[in-house]
Amino acid sequence: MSTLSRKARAGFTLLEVMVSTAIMVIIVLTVVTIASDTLRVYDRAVADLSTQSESRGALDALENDISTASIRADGHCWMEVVVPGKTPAGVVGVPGVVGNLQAVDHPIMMLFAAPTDRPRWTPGANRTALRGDVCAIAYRIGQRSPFDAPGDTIQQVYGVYRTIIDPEDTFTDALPLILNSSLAAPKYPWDYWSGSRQFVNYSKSPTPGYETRALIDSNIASTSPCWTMDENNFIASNVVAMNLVFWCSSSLPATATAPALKDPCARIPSVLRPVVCVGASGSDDKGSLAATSGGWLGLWKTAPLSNSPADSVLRYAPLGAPTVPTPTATPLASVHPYDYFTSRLRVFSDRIYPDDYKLTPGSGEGLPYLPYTLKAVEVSITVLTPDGSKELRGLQMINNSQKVPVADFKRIVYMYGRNYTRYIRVLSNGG
Amino acid sequence: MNPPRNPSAARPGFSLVEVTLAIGIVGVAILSLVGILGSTFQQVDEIMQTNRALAGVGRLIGALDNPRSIVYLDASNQTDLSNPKFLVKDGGLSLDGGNATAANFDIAYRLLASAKDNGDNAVWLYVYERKIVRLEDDKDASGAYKLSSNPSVMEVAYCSGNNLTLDASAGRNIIGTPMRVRLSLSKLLVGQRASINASTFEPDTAKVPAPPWAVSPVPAQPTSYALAYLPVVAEFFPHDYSPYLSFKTREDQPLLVQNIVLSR
Repeated sequence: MSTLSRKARAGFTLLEVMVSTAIMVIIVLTVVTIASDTLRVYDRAVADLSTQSESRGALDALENDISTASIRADGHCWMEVVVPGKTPAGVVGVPGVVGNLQAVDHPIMMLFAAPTDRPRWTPGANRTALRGDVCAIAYRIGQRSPFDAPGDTIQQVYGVYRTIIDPEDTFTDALPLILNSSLAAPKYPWDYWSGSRQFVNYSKSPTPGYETRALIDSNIASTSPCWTMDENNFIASNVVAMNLVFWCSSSLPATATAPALKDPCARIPSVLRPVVCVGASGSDDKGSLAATSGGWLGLWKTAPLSNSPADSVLRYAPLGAPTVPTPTATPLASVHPYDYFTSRLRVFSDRIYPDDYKLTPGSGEGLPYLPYTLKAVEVSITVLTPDGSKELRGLQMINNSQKVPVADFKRIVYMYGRNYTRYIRVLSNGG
Repeated sequence: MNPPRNPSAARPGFSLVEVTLAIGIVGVAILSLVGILGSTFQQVDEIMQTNRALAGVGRLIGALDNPRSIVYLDASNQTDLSNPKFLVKDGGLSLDGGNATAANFDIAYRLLASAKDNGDNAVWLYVYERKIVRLEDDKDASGAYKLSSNPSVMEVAYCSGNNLTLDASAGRNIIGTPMRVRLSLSKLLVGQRASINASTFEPDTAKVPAPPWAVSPVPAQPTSYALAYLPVVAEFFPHDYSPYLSFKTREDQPLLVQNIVLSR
């Protein structure tokens, strides 16, 4: 009876079970390996697409604005860059650095352009068309929380803010400031953006309308932020660096002889030369790194004040740590030797003033500006992947601070940062 | 009497062949799904490359407008991060015509004037993004990272032998896929009176014929060129680091084709 029962319930032999199990294990391992690889590639694809999407939002806007930038040859400053955390002379209210960012990595850029997505209607029910097309525009990087109130210490996401002032308010407030300025009483875009101004706010609560508010103030973590840090102007998230290279040609003939103004490096006028923002402290400085390590210095040939144009195809920066140069009293020897700025850059049509340089030379002084014409701006932005952003926010929560330990921040940017570059020609300036 | 029942027939299980077959079918199904994912990832890769090509167009136009900024890479300096060589100065092509202050258009013209077809006569340039600091130099002695950000720039390079090597990718911090750009003269030249008559200094009556062009349809020197612009075609390919002799004869489909007009 028991023998019959065992026979009636006979299953696989041990050999069958072992063979089929071995085959199953091999297949499962293969599938798991393939699935693991697939997921890894999937993660990379998501990271690439996500960062590229964010970067395109910012870079497309920058391209639109910089390529249509209004830089008129009328002796006025039409574009300005101010570096957070720096205190150039005569500039008050500069905000501090944002979170863990280095000052050189998130300059505030102010310009005038005719963007296609500018405000075109008066706010409110009985709307009428806004006249004009030139708008004051500002770019900056800030932090905001998608979950908590502005200014909270955690869940802060870095990102690019782009602020467009409607053309009528630009015409009534910003343009007169620039156009009425003179060498004796100069005004710059910063003088407009650092004030409390009227602008169109289509998202004003409870109804859309005109609003008057500080455009840029010194508080970068306020619960009632200035307009340029308002959530309505947030265009790209997870951007942790925006480096700008200003490509310029000379606005002077290279062969000019004293006492005519002389090109700093006696280069061929049409040769493009880069002007970059570097840190004066030497820490985290893309400027002071040795040529063999790369950095701006390694990218572009360092030529002396050479009279040989062939040896000065491109040039940037001195060999030592960056310092703010001062015009000296010897005209011929005082050609501006530095193609960089540390705290501020003022762009005119045919000249560029770095840092604290005054507009005109004093008696017997040398050239106080770079005799350059801006032709193009090369923008490099670094975007964190969603995983990197998540880790950063986790560390913010652990530290209960918008800032995380510096080493952690650098590691996250290194591991999860993606770079995207756009070379944008300034069409109005012959770029 | 009935014969004794075969218990395995009464409660049939699966044979080894059946089990193996079933597992095989499941495996094939999973692999097929993975295969579909693979093509999706390939499309993602193509999107990324196309976006790089689109970004490269602006940089290429900027470089052709200012050809002195085109980097020259020969075999010895492709891995040199601080490469100081430039095409105009070091390429040995006499692009400035012996005049150090030659106009930018003249330099670009001399580079492109003989590109009468997209075969051996085409001009090849490489457009790529590169980080400015070498990765191993971004660490201090304790292994901590030095920089908060390592910016990138776009570079346009002319390579001797038309080869951009894999070593260059590592040595020069190239990120992503470099774009290989084939430049040749555009058919927009057809019907144009492109040459200047040496005796009358007026545009010659001879018009540019339809391609193929046995000889370049434009004069070798810009001083003899009658038009105010030079139309060229730029074809962008993802560079797979294959050697020039391999890719020059391949019928690859370009990622992007861009007509570029260089103005005097």
